Parts: sequence; structure tokens; C-alpha cells
Amino acid sequence: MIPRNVQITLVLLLVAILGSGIYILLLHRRTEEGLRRASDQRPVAAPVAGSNETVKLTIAYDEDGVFRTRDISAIVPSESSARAKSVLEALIGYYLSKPSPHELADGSAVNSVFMVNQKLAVVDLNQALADGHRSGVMVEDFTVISLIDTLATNLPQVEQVKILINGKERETLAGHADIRSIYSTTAIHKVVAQLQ
Amino acid sequence: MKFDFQMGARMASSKVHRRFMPRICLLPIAYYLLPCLYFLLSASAAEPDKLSVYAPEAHYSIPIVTLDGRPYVGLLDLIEPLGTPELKPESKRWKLRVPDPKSAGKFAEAEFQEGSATAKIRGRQTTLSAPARSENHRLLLPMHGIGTVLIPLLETDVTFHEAARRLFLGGTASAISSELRKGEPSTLALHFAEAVNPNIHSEGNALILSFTRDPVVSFGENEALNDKLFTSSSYEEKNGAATLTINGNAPLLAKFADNGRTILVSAAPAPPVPPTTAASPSTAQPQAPSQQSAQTPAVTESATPGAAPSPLRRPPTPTFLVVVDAGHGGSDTGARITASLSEKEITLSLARKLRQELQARHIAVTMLRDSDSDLTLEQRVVATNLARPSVFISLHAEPGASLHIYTPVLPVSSNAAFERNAFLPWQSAQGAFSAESGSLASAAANAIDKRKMEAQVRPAFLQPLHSIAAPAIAVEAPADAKGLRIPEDQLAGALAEAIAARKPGGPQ
Repeated sequence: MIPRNVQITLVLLLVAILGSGIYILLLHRRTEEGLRRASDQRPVAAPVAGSNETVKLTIAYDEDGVFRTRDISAIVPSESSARAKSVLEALIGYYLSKPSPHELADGSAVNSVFMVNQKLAVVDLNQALADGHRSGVMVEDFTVISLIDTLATNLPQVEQVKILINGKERETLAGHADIRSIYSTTAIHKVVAQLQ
Repeated sequence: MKFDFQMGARMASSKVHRRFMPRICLLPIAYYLLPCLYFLLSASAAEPDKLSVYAPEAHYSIPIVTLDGRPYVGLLDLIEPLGTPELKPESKRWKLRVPDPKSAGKFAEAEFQEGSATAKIRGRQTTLSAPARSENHRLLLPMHGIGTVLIPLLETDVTFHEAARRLFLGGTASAISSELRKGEPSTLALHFAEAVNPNIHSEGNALILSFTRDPVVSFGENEALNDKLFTSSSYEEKNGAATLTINGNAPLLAKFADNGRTILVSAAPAPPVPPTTAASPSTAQPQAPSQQSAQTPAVTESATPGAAPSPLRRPPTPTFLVVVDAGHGGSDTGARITASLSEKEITLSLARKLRQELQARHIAVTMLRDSDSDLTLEQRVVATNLARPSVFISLHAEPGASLHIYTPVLPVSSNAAFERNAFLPWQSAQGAFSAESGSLASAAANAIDKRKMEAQVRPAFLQPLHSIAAPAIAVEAPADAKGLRIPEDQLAGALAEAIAARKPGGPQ
């Protein structure tokens, strides 16, 4: 007859051995998975061909009715179209974060930027930005000016900017600001200087 | 012989055919086209049915839908501007919850059943004049006897002028009182409980005041005035509007007094004789790249105070003409100030007030739109540049707090000197007038400042200013649920004063 205390000790030891075994098995599987992932050569993220640079954003402040320049750090590609798109994405991202000095509609984005002779930038904004934009002379103008000035500040070779919405020409952004015209970056810089 | 005869007859008939058949053919086409044209014109001119609602909280209009020959209104359209109702459909049952106007924090509940003429309001059965209907996710109730729903639901007084489609809630209806001040000539003073903003125009010697947004009523329909100047007045209510017509023996002019609570009707002064030495403001007009054959939109021009609107006439062009552009219109509502108030309504009201103020200063005015009509930006530019104005002013409103005056900045920079007598490019015609536009904006800001209001002058990339071949500014006024946040008459007065100062021989 095995004494009761020895019985309990044996049961505890068996449970401990079983638990340790399961734990070792789990560790083994995790290690195997880690090694398998490490050896996997499939690409899972788009390559970022660019360096981390300081980007100057011309930010519109609706409440004060002014523009202020903000420096942010972002990875900016060297190719001019991709660079222009990254810069504008950074600006729109700034406006979409809360609290925003100049609110844009959720889902606002830049579809693409085309460079023509490195002097004319054709900026294609998405439908959500235009359709969800607040209507008003100042708020619409501020969006247009801020986008163009940010683009021209970071790509100084750009002299003219044309804005499209989803690849199409549109008369105004949301009923007021003219986006049919081709904008001169010099005229935009002057307005920003007046409203700083 | 027979053959020859037939040939001759055929030839003769062919000549007759060739000569007269086109004309004969045109007749049935014309008979067919004319009624079609008449039908199209009358259909486009017909005003949609609407119900005007006047409540202490808001004055608004809602559309009327005709179903099975009965007029219906959307329940949510009707009560949404009065609070924050919740209307939830559950199968064919619609449950309504509205904040109780009598006790804060509590709700009044009602239940409607599609296809049923009985409803439960605050727990009590109510009978509707026709079954409730549902269309496009909207609950529609019969307009006839709508008071049976509104009285228990809102616990308020309801006066319904059903034939005229005017619904007064909470005792908002206020009677017009008139006072004939005898003299040489006499003046007729129309007194109102609150400031009013009617659409005023004249037809011959009759002055017609049309009230759409004002809860005015009159107890008498026709009244003989027995005066040398005023002969009679008549009052009529129709399709959500009240119309007061003052008949006289001479052209009449209306002026606002007592902050819009009084309208003084008097004899219109004789039109001023234009100075013969005044130069035409501009000669060169820009050409739209794609709009050279664009039709000039219907504009209303009134060169003398109180004169009837008439189609644009050329020549002669007044020597000092102001083109007033009420921003947006038609399907373009502009900024949404509230769910029931849009920018286009505020700009039209302000434009009409500005026209009154300018006419009172003997300045000829052309309104680009005097109703809720659609006008593209290019049409506005074409109409303006054809009118060759001395000043162009575009009016806007936004749900903000500050008043802005915008001067145009040309998006395209040009080093070339703009010459007014030279060809002006469409996109930058304003370039030849930008200095004058700037000085007009400063003068307008000063005039506003004198009236103890504040206006900021700013540059803007705003169409249609870029293509206007005249000194041009845009004014954006702050607005809220009650309309403009600044007194409309003060703003219009200040702008008119600044414009009048530019008139040759006008006040400096």
C-alpha cells in the first residue's frame, strides 16, 4: 500500500512532466515557424525608394484665416511624380488627422500626379475629396492654395499646376474655388505670403 | 397625245410641287411643333407645388406630392426643421419620436401605419383624412387636415390656409396693417410685426410685393384707397406665398424703414438723365473659348427705381450699370447653412436688397438671376460682359462668423500689360481691372466699417471673377439658421454706398 502523501507527490510530478512537455512542444513549433518565415523570400511590402527627408507643408488654418509652414519628416522618392504624390499625401494626411486646422472629408486622397516637362504638374485628386469638401469661398480656396504651394515648395521646378478630380476637369472644387484654370505657382506663393 | 398631256401635266405638277410643297409641308409641322413648344414652355415655367411652413423656430417650404389625386407631405420634411425627430420604419409601421416642446428631456411619440388612415399620437387614436403612404423611404401624410397630427404632437396652435398652402404654427401669422399718409404725394405705410423681405416688382403702375418666407396675412382681400396716387390694394395667397398688390395712378416705389418692419410705398421719382459726357466703362470683351455661341441667360434689368423687370435691352446701355450676381441657384444650392436653408436662398435675398439700395441711389442694376434658376459660371460671365457693367458684385454666404470681401487673383500670371481695348483672354480678362477691383473692395470694407461691422478683404481664386471685364468683387457673408448673421439691409446699404461713390458725379 503506497502512503497517501507519496500518491499526491507522484500525481503532481506527472502533471508537471506533462505540462513541461506541452510547453516544450509549443516552443518547438514557434521556433520552427520563425525559421520558416525568415527563410521566406516573398515580397510583402512595397519598396520605398527614397530617403527620409524634411517636407515643408503649407498648412491652412481656417480659424485664423492664415497659412503656416510646418516641417515634417517623410520618406520621399526621388522620381518627381512619385515625389509630388508623396508630398501631397503627407499634406492630406495632416489635414485628415484630428484635430485638424482645415478639415477634409474622410477618404480624401491624391490619385496620381503627372509631370509634364517637369514644369507643369497635373494633380488628380479623388472624388471623395471634392464631393465631401465643405462649400465656401475661403475653405475651398485654402485647400487649392495649400496643395499647390506645398507642391511648389517641395518641387521648385514646378511652375504651373492643373487640378483634376478623378481624371476629369471640374469647374469648381465645391461651388466656389476655380479649379478649371491652370495655376501659376508664382501667383500662389504671393497669396500665401500675403496670408501668412 | 395622251402621253404628252400626261407628261406636261406631270411636269406642271412637279413645278407646283417643288414650289409649294415645302410650304405646305411646313404647316402641319408648325401645327405640331407649336403646341409642343407651348407645352414645354408652360411645363418648365410651372412652379412645383410647395407648402410654406411658418414656425417660431424657422420658416421653410416643403414639396407637396400628389398621390391618387390627393396632396401629401413628407412627415420628416415637415417637422425636421422644428427639432431633431427620429422616424423609424418597422415593417409597415413607422414610429416617430420628437423632443417634447413643453418639457425638456421628454419625448412625444406617434405611430403611423402605411395604408392606414388611423394613427396613434401620444397614445391617442387620431384619424387622418387619407391613408398614410410610403415612397422612397419617406413617410407621407395627407396634407388635408394635417393639423390633426400636428396639434396633439407638437401641442401648439396650428392655422392652416390649405387652399393657399400656408401653415402657421405657434401663432406666427401676423397681420399687415396699412396707413395712408395723405399728402402731395401721399405715402402708404405697410406695417409688419417683424422684419420682412418680400420680392418686390412693378407692373405698370402696380407695385407687387410677394411674401414667401414671411408669415404675413391680411384680413381683407381688396381695399379701395381713394387717393390721388393710390387707387386700391389687393391681397392674394397662392401656392405658399402671399401677394400684396398696390395699384396707383403713377409708377410706385417701395422703401424699407424701421429695420424692415415697415415698407413705405410712394411715387417713383422721375428717372435721372444720364450725363452725356460719361465714358463707357469698357470696350474690350473677352471671348469664351467654348462659349462664343452660348446663349445669354435671362437677366432682369431695372434702370429706374420701381420699374418693371424687362429683358436685357441693348442699346442703349446705361452709363453706370451694376451687375449683381446672386451666387448659385437652381440645382446648385451652394453651402448648406442648415437642413432647410441653403446659400442660394440667402444670396438671392441679399441681391434683391442690394438692388433696392442701388435703385434708391438711381443706379441701374442688372440681376443675373432673380429667381431660383440654374446658371453656369460661363453663362454668368457672358451675360455680365455683354451688359458692359461699371461694377460686378458676386454674393455668397457661408455658415461662418466673419464677413469677407474677395478680390480676384488671377490663377495664370502674365507679365503682359492688360489693355482694355485689346483682346482680353477669357481666363484672365479681370487682369485689366484688378487695381479697380482692389479699390472697390477697400471702399466696400470702409463703408461696412462705418456701419460698425467688420469685413476682411482677401484675395481669392474665385470664378466668375477671373473672366469679368469690369471692376469685380465677391462678398461672402456669414449665415446661420435664421439667415444672415449681420443685418441684411446694413450690408446692402454699405455695398450700395461704396458702389455709388464710383458713379461719375456720385457721392465721394
